[in-house]
Amino acid sequence: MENKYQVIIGMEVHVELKTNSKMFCGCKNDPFHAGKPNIYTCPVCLGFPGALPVANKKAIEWTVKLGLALGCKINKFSKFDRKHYFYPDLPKGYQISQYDLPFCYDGKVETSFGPVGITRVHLEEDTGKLIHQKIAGRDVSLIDFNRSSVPLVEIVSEPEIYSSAQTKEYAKKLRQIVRYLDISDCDMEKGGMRLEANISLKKSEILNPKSETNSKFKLSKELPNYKVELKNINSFRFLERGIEYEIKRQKEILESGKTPIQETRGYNAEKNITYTQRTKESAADYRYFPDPDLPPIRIDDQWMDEIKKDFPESLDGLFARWQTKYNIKPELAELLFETNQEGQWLNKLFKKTYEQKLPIDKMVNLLIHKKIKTVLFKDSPNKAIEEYKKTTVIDDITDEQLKVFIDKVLSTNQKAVTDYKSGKTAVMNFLVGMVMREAKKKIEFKRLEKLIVKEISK
Amino acid sequence: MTKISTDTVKVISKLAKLKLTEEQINKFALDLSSIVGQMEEIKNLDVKNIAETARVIDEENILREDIITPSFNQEQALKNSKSIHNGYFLVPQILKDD
Amino acid sequence: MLIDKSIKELSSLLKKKEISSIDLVRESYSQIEKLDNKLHSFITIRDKKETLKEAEVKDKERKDESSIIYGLPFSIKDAYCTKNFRTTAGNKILDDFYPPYSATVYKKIINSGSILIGKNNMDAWGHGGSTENTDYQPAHNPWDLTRIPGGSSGGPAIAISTRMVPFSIGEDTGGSIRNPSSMCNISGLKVTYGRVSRLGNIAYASSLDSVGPMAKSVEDLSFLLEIISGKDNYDSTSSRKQVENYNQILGEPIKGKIIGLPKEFFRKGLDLKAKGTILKATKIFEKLGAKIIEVNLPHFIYGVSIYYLIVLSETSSNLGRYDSFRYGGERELFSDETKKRIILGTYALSAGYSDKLYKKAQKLRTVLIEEYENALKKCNVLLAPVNPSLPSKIGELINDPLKNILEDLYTGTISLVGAPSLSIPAGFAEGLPVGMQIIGKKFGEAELFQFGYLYQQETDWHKRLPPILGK
Ligand SMILES: [Mg+2]
Ligand SMILES: [Zn+2]
Repeated sequence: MENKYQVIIGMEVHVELKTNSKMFCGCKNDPFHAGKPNIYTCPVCLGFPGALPVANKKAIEWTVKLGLALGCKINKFSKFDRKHYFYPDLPKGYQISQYDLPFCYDGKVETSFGPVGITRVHLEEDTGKLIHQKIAGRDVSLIDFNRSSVPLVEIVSEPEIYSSAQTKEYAKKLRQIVRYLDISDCDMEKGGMRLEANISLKKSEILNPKSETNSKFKLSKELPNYKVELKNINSFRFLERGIEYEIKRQKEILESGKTPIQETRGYNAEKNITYTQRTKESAADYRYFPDPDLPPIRIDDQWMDEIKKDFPESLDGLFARWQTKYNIKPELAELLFETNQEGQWLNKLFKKTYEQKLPIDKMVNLLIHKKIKTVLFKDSPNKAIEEYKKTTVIDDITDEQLKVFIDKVLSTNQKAVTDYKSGKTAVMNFLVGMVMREAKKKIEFKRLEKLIVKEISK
Repeated sequence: MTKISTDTVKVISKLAKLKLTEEQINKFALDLSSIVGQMEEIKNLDVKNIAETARVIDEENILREDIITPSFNQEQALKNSKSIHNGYFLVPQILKDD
Repeated sequence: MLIDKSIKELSSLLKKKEISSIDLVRESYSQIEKLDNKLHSFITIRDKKETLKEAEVKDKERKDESSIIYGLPFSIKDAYCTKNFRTTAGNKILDDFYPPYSATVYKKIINSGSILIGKNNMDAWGHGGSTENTDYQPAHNPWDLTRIPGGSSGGPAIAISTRMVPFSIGEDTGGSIRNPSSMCNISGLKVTYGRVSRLGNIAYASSLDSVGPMAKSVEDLSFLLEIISGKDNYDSTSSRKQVENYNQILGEPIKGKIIGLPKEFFRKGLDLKAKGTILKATKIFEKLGAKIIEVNLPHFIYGVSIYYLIVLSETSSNLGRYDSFRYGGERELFSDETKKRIILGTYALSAGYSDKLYKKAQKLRTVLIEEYENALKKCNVLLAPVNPSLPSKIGELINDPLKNILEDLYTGTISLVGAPSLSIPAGFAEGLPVGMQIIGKKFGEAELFQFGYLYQQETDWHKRLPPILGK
């Protein structure tokens, strides 16, 4: 057996929702553009004595929406719990989160390697932001609470991911779904989307050595007796690399007969290594209990209908429709867009393209190769179609107008004309190109060739 | 009767972020043992199939609309802190990168 | 002495311009100056010049339609945030805390035109029933300076019983209004959980904390409750139930109504003299036409354990925010009593113990609620003692941790079910006040007032003044 260790990965992804206001207070939810520290703060998000939280309805609805998009079941009766630990960026000494009754549970994300189960999707509040600095020779941390109590959704997957590539695909797909729902910008650089991978290795039998999906291994639900938590990753590429590094590192430890330590590790992009952040010698004891300050939440049928009302078509549904109607392959469709607006725009564009009987495969090709840039034509699919026509087909130039350019090219390239006449027809490519350069337009080859031949033989 | 040992007091005080002196640890272990001893009177009560009560209000779904309300200005936010720097709260560094 | 008069009388005299707010404020300070160095009712007192100026404005701007408490001096337990005015919750961590916002209850009273005189002493964070556990000076009972005034709202009770202020706002988690009201011979109301907004109340145990009025009589309380009650959009646990005109119901007969005496509250452990005093009160209610029956609350004998497991768990959580970074001092400044309570609460919530302690207590809380509801199907209100014993000598409870918590047996259990309870003077034993509590259905405050008011029409216990005031 060439590869006796199989990696098992479970993902925890945190996403900041882009509501107007914060999760439990009316402060503005815009930590990345605040300009100054600690200005979007109040007694609630600073954890002042006597302050009380009031939950943001929209954040709850968006969490449920995400759950639905991930095929989750929804807990009709839910509540918020306090999760206790001490850290300077956590102003109350506890984070308001959800423990045993998350809003959503038991969903699924499809990847090309196989499905990944979603254990739960719950809603919580973000912490403040710490900046580590040296001031007057002293190591200090500066705290900004603009981010404190921003709504944060946590999506926990089953340990059902079996490669770094699948992890990357899972995370990308998740981001696409969240952005398509238009509930978060998922800015990974700034921490609007944060990835954590729980990684461990297990000896596994290889069933199909040539398989590129999860059918390669004989899968079992049994988990190893340790796991390493990889944290603080701000790009998909680093996620993939970090996991690759971990696989190598853990394999070496296992092969030497030892068990990797259960710990939290970070990824250093410069050195492309992972490093110990915190060993969990004493397991955290979060002392969860229901937050007495927040009444429970019951999602009845009427509220559920309201949530579903402005629910967009599912991504997989959209891709399936594009495939049947426009013959666009889902693998290609996935590459085309990130955000909800882009998705909607593309939908309109394809509809128009289809109505005007223009070839959609060419359109997709141009989009994928960024010849037509989605960002440039956000407001108007019509403009994009014009651009498409310019780059591909016959122009609005008349034969008379073209004749002027052809005459000019032929008179300045006498040698090519002679060559053509003597049978070297390959020179036609050159002539057509020259005319197009003169005309500053892309013109259908056949049409130009015909016109040029007509002029030469005059 | 369960005794609260000094070791338990040490572990729990760490969880609760309280620094205790040796003297306090000994005294607390003693006092807390007698109180926990009293509380253990509930040990043998049968609570099978009984739901937990976390709150005594019947209301549900008390939520707010997603509307921005005025915040503090920076000065108000910081004014009760003894340690600030350029608009930030300043604390001694505890753990890096965590 | 003006402040001895009822709120209704004071308001009427003020509106008739027979007295002024300035007179009242002056009298308030003169009582404080005379007595507070012995009693320690206040932690922080406002500048007299400032309050007199405020009184002058009130006198000028008073209208016929002004609130009944317009221009009256008042005090508030130091557990409430008062914007830009020192708020300590009785402890040194918040020794120099000047809240950037105000508690809803405080705002409501200020908006009705009352004048804050100062912030009252309390057991730090509400942790205690004696006002000895304050990080400031331990308070003394005006009826016997060697004894505790009760707690944790000891400061407000002292201030009212010695007529430093006509009314005050206390906070009751497991007896903190009822207990000192009983020990200082005043009237106090623990409201139904959710009746009054908790916003700005420095939390002890969030699922029990309740904000309530303390005053000289049930009539006074009825006016105050109407002013401070109601839904607060910034407290998710405040009730949307309509606020009643509590004063209107006073005087309506209780003939034919039924009072239940919970057997478990009159067993051994209850001071015999206190027991006798309360049983005497039942005779008055019978005279008023009420019927007395016995009811059972079988699990209430475990009430103290259930109560402590829950409140200490919650307080360990609520006090997590005091890390000294955004406000206040270091956690080392917690008193030993508070540290013990935090550790016990943390222990009850921690892995391995939570099922046996915290969660079990929560299940038993359900049992208590059922028993209470069943009892109140058989009667209109329950009548019970407030304290198992007469006010202790100062120092006695602090040195006996077990006795200290057993003091909450009759009050803490009622808090667990969220019920309202009115504590009023019921007589004296060995020269010390003995109170009783009338416990009602949830949001049944009006009915409690009805019982309490008629009782106070028949008795004059509540009018008696502590010897320290002289003749
Ligand atoms: Mg989380
Ligand atoms: Zn805020």
